[in-house]
Amino acid sequence: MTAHPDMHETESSVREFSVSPERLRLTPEAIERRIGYGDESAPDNVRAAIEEMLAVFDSADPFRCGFRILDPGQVAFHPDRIVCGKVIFRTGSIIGRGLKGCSALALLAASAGPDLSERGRVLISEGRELAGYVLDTIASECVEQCLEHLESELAAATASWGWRLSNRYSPGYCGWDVVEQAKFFSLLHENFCGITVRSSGLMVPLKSASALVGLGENAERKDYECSLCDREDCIIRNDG
Amino acid sequence: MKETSSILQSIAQCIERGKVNRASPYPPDLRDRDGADELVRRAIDLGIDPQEILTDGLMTGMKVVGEEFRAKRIFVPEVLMAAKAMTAGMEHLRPFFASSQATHRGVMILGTVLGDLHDIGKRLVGMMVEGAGWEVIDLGTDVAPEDFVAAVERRPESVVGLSALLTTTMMNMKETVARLKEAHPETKIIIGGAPVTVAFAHEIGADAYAPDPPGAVDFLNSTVAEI
Repeated sequence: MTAHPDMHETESSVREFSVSPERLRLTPEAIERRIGYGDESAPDNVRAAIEEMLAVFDSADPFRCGFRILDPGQVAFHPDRIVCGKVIFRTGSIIGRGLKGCSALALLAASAGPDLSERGRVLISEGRELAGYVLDTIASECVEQCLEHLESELAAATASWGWRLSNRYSPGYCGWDVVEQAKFFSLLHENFCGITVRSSGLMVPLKSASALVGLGENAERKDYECSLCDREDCIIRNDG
Repeated sequence: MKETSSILQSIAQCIERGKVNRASPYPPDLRDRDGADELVRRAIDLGIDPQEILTDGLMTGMKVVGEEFRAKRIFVPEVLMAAKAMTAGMEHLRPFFASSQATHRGVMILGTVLGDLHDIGKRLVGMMVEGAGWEVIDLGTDVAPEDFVAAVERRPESVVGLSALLTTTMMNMKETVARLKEAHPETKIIIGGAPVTVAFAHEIGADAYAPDPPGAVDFLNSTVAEI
């Protein structure tokens, strides 16, 4: 990825990765935290289920993730929207503030594929609800880590241009309507990372995620974002 | 009498702790002791009223689980284990439900609305509602409005629970509520899911909103009290 940031659309601005389970290095502690245990240890049976399902995870198919960079000539940032040619993301003012100073945009997507979800479904149907739930949680964590992996790749790919990264924003959060998921994927090639989007914005496979990241010399990553948002009932709200 | 009280307390404790049966190794401090499976069987053999086993044993334990979950002292895995223990005990009570020697508090028809495939939150609601003594008819995910209506036709005494995890699929609750209220105006409907709010419940004509599974139980029990 050596093209200059003033590039227009080139093959090098789109990258896809196949990430093997061992590369993600999921730990039991990370899964416990995602379930909600925080600093407390999970009960023994939960820990045992996590260990068992991490072994299942290790034998899973590689995960797919990738990004596309839209260069400064392709993106215009406004306080409440982003214009990418004919596509307009009505992100709202919270994301608008978060992207202040950005000049380019990266679209990120990641998917655990259908494999883990199906294995989880089978476990639940066999009466192993705890194992199925833990596997589902592992799949969620792995998708999150794939997005973090993509951010690292983005940072490495654009560091020589003097670009920095903003926070990550996903359709459905921070005031950005999830219905714009379809617009988001319209800017990526068909079946990008194996993901399709229903009209509701639901991604299939279910264990998939998408996000945009602002880029540029003046892009800024803020430590904490929930205080900017007025949605008190948000499920991921954390007022620290 | 003392033995009755003791065994019912033990059943409740097995639910709280997720002790399914003697063979299950968890929790470690109850290893090699009877679980909900054996204790409910023994309670029946002792002649304890099946309704009492349900109410003062199984449901008492599950009530504590709901309170602990709401207070974030336990999490989904513990609820799943409690529900598994509950199911093991309930298996022994099924014949008594069939012969009306034991009765459910009511019936809940549950489903994730059209366009949405999320299942786990809805399942948790179902488990806690069942643990509160209700019969649960789970229609699954991606359920069309007409399927909810048809389910109520079969069991008109039911309360309906709708789940959605996206702001977009949440909008499909509106049509489901409208169709249900048109066909069965008397049917109570409760909605829940990550993007759902009490204001949205009012807006679409649902009877209640539950922020969490114990909230659904509270609402259901209040409908029984009304009756």
